[in-house]
Amino acid sequence: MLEIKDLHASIDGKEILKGINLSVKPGEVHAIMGPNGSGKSTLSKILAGHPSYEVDSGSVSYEVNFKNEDLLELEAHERAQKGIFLAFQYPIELPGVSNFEFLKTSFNEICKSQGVDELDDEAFDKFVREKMKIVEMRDEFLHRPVNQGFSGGEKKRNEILQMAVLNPHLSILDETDSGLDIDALRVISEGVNKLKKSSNAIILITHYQRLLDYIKPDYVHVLSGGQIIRTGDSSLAKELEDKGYDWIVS
Amino acid sequence: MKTEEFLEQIKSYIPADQLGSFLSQSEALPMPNRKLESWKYFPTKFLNFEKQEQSTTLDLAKELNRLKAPGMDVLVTRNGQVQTDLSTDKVKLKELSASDFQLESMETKLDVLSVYSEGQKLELVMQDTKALQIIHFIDSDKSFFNFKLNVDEAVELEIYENFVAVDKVQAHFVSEIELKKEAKLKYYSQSELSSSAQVYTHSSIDLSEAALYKSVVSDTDPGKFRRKTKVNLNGERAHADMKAFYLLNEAAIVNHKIDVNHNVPNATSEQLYKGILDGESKAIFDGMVYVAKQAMGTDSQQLNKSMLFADSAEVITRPQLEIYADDVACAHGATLGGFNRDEVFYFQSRAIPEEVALRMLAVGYAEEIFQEVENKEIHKDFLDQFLDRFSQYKVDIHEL
Repeated sequence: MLEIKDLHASIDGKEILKGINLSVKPGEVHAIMGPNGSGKSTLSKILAGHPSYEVDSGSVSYEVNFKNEDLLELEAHERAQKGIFLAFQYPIELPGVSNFEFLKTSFNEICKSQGVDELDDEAFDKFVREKMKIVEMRDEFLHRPVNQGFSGGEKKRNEILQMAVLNPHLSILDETDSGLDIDALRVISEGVNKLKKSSNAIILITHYQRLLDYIKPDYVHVLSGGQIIRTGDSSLAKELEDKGYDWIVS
Repeated sequence: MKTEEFLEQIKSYIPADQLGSFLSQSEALPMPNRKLESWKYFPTKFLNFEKQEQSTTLDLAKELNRLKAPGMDVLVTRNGQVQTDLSTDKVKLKELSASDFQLESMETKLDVLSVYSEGQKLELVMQDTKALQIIHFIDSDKSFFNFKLNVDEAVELEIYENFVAVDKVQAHFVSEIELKKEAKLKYYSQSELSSSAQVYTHSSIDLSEAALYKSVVSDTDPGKFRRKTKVNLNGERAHADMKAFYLLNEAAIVNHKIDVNHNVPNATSEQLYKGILDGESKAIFDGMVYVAKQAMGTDSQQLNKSMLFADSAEVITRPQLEIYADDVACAHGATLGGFNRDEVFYFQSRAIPEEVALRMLAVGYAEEIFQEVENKEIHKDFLDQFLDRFSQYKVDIHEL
């Protein structure tokens, strides 16, 4: 589904990613861990198409509907239309833009790109309320401005609600567990598990093992200094939790 | 313009029996000029009182049908004269004279001219209605209109004031509103001005104890509009909540000159003025919050935010505080910028193209003001007019 080869990338002339190689297949869950500043969030933003980041070399191939796309050639919104989803570490507040309008526009842009009929207000309202149950989100959030006045946990729930609505092929969850209390972590993790399918894949970026207690990864990668320096199974995350990164980085 | 020239030109707009009073009342007052703080940034070159030919005539019945807000009584004026045949009869009109207005607080000869002019001077008596739409049609060279309104104790009123002006007109309005104890006034205003139309309003609102004044104003056309508003908080627990939006292009100018005077303790006020500017337009936010020595416990917020779509557009923002009391909470500020790249990316990461994202962000930017309109019909008017005008704007991420 996703094939990253020797990816080098920078921001403001500073090289952050220094040769990333990663292969993700449908149905897999990959966890990317690593110390602060190792390039985890940069990788997620590059995959989603943030214009501030410069790809210096390498390739990212993305297979969707039996067709291989050069992901780096696509605009950010085109990537999302083709099923790439990034759950933000710090979800953005959009004053004056209602959650309902935002979600509906987003959903309908995907429908439009796939040649499927768009949903009107009534149909979308019914659809989205079902999805809200997945993250135990109250109805009142639907007509509030996107993320404005939301607590940290509510913002993260809202991200997963968006994931549920957009039904992506590849979801990248950037530190979705940060700032969550235990109950919120459970609800959000259960929500993500409900959205897992054999046809889609998830990349989890996290600092902590606790998220991986809820969402079981098939692979754990350690990113350090802009490179993946080790790959293992879920036991690697446990080892990192116990010993930290020093032993592996040095 | 020189004073002599002004006095010569304005004679034709003042009834002969009022001219002497006008001259004596305005003698000590200056002409609007750039040396006056309140006129420093609005080009006075437009204030020409020479007669101009006017060819465009509004079809009032058609316009009224388009603008009429459901569920409200309506008072229609045309070039400073009430159109009784187009107005509902729930509002009683009481004739006033110039001396009924607060002449002592007037700052320039122009302010005094308005109340001594041939335009009507009326008190609006709203005993039989709680919701009034006042629509001013302006399609003649120069016009003037003045009104007073007293809102009785614990009475709640809603006023929606529209200004519709064709090219090459100049109109002046003076209004004085008094809110008695616990009275509430929700005031909404929207304008439709052709590019060379000029409208000047001079409003004062006096609030007694626990009175509430809430205003939402929207100006989205290329004309020139100077809105001068003076709010006097004269009773404890009085609250003034003032919001405005401007969407300007071509050579439009909107000037909000605001004075909020906290004259007593424990009154509160809030101002949020926002806008988007394109072309060679100009927005002037000139706001002063004055807190008197005895006005302890004052809470006042004042914020002006603008977005520039073109380097040729101009914003002059002056959020000012003048505080003489010790125990107050006052904040003021201004921001100027364009679209936020991270906000746009958030949309894009949700499959929404940049162009759609920018338009949604702009609507959201305006909606922060429009959502304060509690009347759903009027809210729709504000939003529809914004969307109609904004659809003609070219939108991109403009880096300042």
